[in-house]
Amino acid sequence: MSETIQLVTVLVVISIISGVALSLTFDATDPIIQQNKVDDLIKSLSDVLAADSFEEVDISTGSILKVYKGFDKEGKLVGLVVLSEQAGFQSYIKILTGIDIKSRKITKVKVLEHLETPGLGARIDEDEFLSQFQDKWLKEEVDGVTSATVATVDAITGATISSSTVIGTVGESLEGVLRLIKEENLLK
Amino acid sequence: MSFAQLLKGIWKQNPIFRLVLGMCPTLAVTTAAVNGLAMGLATLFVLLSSALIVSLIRKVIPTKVRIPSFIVIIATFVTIADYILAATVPPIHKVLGIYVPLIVVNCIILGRMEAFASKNSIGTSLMDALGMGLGFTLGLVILGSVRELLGFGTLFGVGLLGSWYPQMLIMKLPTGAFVTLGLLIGLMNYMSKKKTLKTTCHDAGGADKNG
Amino acid sequence: MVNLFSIFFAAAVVNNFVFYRFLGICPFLGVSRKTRSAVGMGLAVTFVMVVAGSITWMIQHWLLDAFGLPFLQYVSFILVIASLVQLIEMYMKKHQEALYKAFGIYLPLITTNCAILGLALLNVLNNYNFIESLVFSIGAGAGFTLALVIMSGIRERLELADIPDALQGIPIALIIAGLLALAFSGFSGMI
Repeated sequence: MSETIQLVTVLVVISIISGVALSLTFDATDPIIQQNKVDDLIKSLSDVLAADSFEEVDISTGSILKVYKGFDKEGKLVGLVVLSEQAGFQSYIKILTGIDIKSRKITKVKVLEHLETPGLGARIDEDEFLSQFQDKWLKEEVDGVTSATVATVDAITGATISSSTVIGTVGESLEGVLRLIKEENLLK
Repeated sequence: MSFAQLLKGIWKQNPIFRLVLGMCPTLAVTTAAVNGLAMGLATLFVLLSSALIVSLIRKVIPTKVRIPSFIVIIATFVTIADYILAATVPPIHKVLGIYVPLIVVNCIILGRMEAFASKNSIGTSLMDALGMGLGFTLGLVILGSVRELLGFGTLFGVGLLGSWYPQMLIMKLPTGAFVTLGLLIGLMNYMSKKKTLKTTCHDAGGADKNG
Repeated sequence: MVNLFSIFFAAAVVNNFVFYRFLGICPFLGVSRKTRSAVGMGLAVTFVMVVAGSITWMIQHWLLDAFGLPFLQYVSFILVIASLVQLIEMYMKKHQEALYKAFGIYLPLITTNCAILGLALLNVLNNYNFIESLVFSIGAGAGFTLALVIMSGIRERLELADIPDALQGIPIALIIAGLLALAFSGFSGMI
């Protein structure tokens, strides 16, 4: 019987020490990890829209996950960034779409995450494809925004589905932005 | 004596090419040399720290519960390694992903603990762990370098083959991993004129008997 | 219902644990020489996957998440898996002799099989609810068994082929696995 007690004691002691060590490590590293995530997000957002601070707007419809308002140093609204996600060819594609509020043109589209086919669908994160989105107009009417504004983007040869997913998602992001602008009267 | 221990893990009993252990991370993260290096170093860290602790308390652990004890110790250090990676090098941590926790079930570590660290002094155990860890890292870097060079034309991010090189797509895919590793092991077999020591996880330490 | 089917199919074929996720390679190389042992190993793994997957799911959601202890995930998961395999083996030896003879001997090898731990972690990563995680576990096991059986069929014939000395055994098995991976990659994009 005492052998069993000895066995159990050893295991319990080791487990407790392990638990304490892990708990300490977690407390030490978690703040850094969270901060890394925030820094990463701000970096991605700034990459897409030139703003000094960002504020999250609580919206998520369809493929849109989050919308961020970008403000300059004086607190004036500079533009909007839409984070959206949609099923591509063989993975979920996450993209950021930046829109300048004054010119109502797309500033930049950036692909954050994807696992598309290397060499084909994976090329949706290349400049050659994404630069086509720059400076496209955001039209007034909600209907027809997708077809009118982004119909002029060429898909990547051999990567039809990946390309059209990105194009469609950008279009939906634009629609969402338009709706937000109308609701909150952001163009005052 | 200690130096021989070290060398053994690097060449004669290289975990990847001779013992054929730790296959899962080997195939998964070697798309680029630097990823292989990171995984190797993470595994080395776990090997060293686990060997230290196990060898330290080896007289206190009853034989009946040694495997669960080793497992808790190894898993603890893997968790620590995971958090350190996430805090210091987030991009690499993201690439290694699920394969960092899988270090816990890497036969090399449990095997060495069972066969070596639990029966030898701290110094010898550490040398053994260091040798195995370095051998593993070396294997990962070699495989990663081949795949990166042929797949991307770069090595550790440095463009070597120039832009005329049409990247060999297959190297970036699972197939490239399997085939390259197979050919490398075959090459090692040829060079050492001895076939791989067929080991399963249970005799991961048993290979030691051959010295 | 459709969603559950796609989870199953994705786990078994499209994102096959062996050919896409590189999980379970050690037993895949070690036990795939004869079809009989391949089937035995496959079934054993599937069984452990389903049970371990469910238990770790419960631990994650009812213990770790509830009490805010994410850092205990790896330690608790692997302890559960190791103990589970031990218990299953003991139970089988005593009460299910026939089953034990069929695939009980593979059980000790399963503890360090990265496929099991990988499955447990993926269940959590993919945010599956309980039913979805069950289906995922079954699919993963089925895919693993499929990979093993295909491989054993090929390797049984390979015994009769004239392979260069240096490539015999592990190297040629890996090369074949590579070709199979290529074949399986044809499934990508289906889900």
